[in-house]
Amino acid sequence: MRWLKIGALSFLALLFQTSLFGPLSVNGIKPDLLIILIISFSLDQGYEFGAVYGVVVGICMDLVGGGIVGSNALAKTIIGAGAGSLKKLVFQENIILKVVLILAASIVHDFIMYIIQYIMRSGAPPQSISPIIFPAALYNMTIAALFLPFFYWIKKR
Amino acid sequence: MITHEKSLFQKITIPLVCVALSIFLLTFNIVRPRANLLEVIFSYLFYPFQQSAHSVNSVISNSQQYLQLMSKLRRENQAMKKQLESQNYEINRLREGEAALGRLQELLDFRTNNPFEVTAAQVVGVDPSNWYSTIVIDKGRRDGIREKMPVVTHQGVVGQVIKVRQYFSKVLLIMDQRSGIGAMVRRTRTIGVLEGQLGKVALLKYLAPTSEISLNDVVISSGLGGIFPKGLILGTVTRIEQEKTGIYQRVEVSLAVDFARLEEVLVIKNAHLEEVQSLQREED
Repeated sequence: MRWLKIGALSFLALLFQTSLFGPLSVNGIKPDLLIILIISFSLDQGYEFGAVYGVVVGICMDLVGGGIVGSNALAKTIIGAGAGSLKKLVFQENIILKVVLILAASIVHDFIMYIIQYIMRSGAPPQSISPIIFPAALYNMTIAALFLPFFYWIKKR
Repeated sequence: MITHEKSLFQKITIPLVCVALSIFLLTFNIVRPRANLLEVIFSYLFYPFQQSAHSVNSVISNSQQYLQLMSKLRRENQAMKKQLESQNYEINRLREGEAALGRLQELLDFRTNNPFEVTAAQVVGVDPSNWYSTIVIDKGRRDGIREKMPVVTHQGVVGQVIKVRQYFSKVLLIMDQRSGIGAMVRRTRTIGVLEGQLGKVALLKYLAPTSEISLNDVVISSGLGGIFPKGLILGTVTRIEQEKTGIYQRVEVSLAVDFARLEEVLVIKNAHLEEVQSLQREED
């Protein structure tokens, strides 16, 4: 049942991101709900779950989009496993710390994406780092700050 | 009770397998960039949901406009509230129709003023990542769409078709970092390459320092490269700098198409009609 819930939530997030976030994008930057889900679930479930969840969600994202297949998979595996390894250190109810971790994970995720772009197309323009990474990370953090309390309130009930 | 502490190798096996799988997929982009059965299957499975979500999106966006107008009318005249609500809905519906008509009229004008055979398509999906700029359109192989066909609007060039399925296609936008188009400054006929930067501004590269170029110059497609026909509008020059190496100029071009409000596009099916016609004339 838990897997079904996680699967359904991830599917909805992916659908939102590919279809409904056009009007919500700010200067062309849209939030990555899947990063929020990966960090939230991985901190609850541990690094092995984080790695598997990250790779599955990342592959789905790569296949739905038109980008380099494997790029999201690698970036999301790394942040999933990384966040999961902090399971024992992070108190589950500490939403502020989770929000900060989502900010950090977004920056790491986009930095990995940048490196992959750089390698795969022999040099992405260096100026494309800051206009995407930091606004996207702040956007993800804001969405997380708004929805995580609600998410945990539902979980408690 | 005996508990087994996992060894370091056991601990990192699963994450390592996941990383290896991702890298394996990445290498596929280099070895076999086109053939990806998994991508084809997944796209087909996801497309109906994406299309349904697009419909929901339209309803949400219509409702947003409706609610905005409602609150305005409430402030203006409380007494006429009920009557205005129904009128407001009707006005909103008509405005939507008018806006759609305007957009379609502009597309029709493009169609009439250009010799190309075009197919109109609706944008039903966008790339989920901030790192790629692709869209999904609701026309595919059964509508005669093929890879590398140019996609435009009345404003200018949108991109090119990169993947075609039976009922839908994926389009690489010119703002994507992987996009490079043969471009030309319309006033001076200086030729360069327009490369995407993932934003509203693209870079016009490989212009010699002596090339005559000034702000607000219109940049069009040069016809070189074999995908885009000559003369389609790409954007206007907004910034000119000398590159540090001194070999080329660094020219920023503000793209003509408003990608944030992309709803309908045209796919050019016979982009090289003029070339074919001139070859035929030469043969005759």
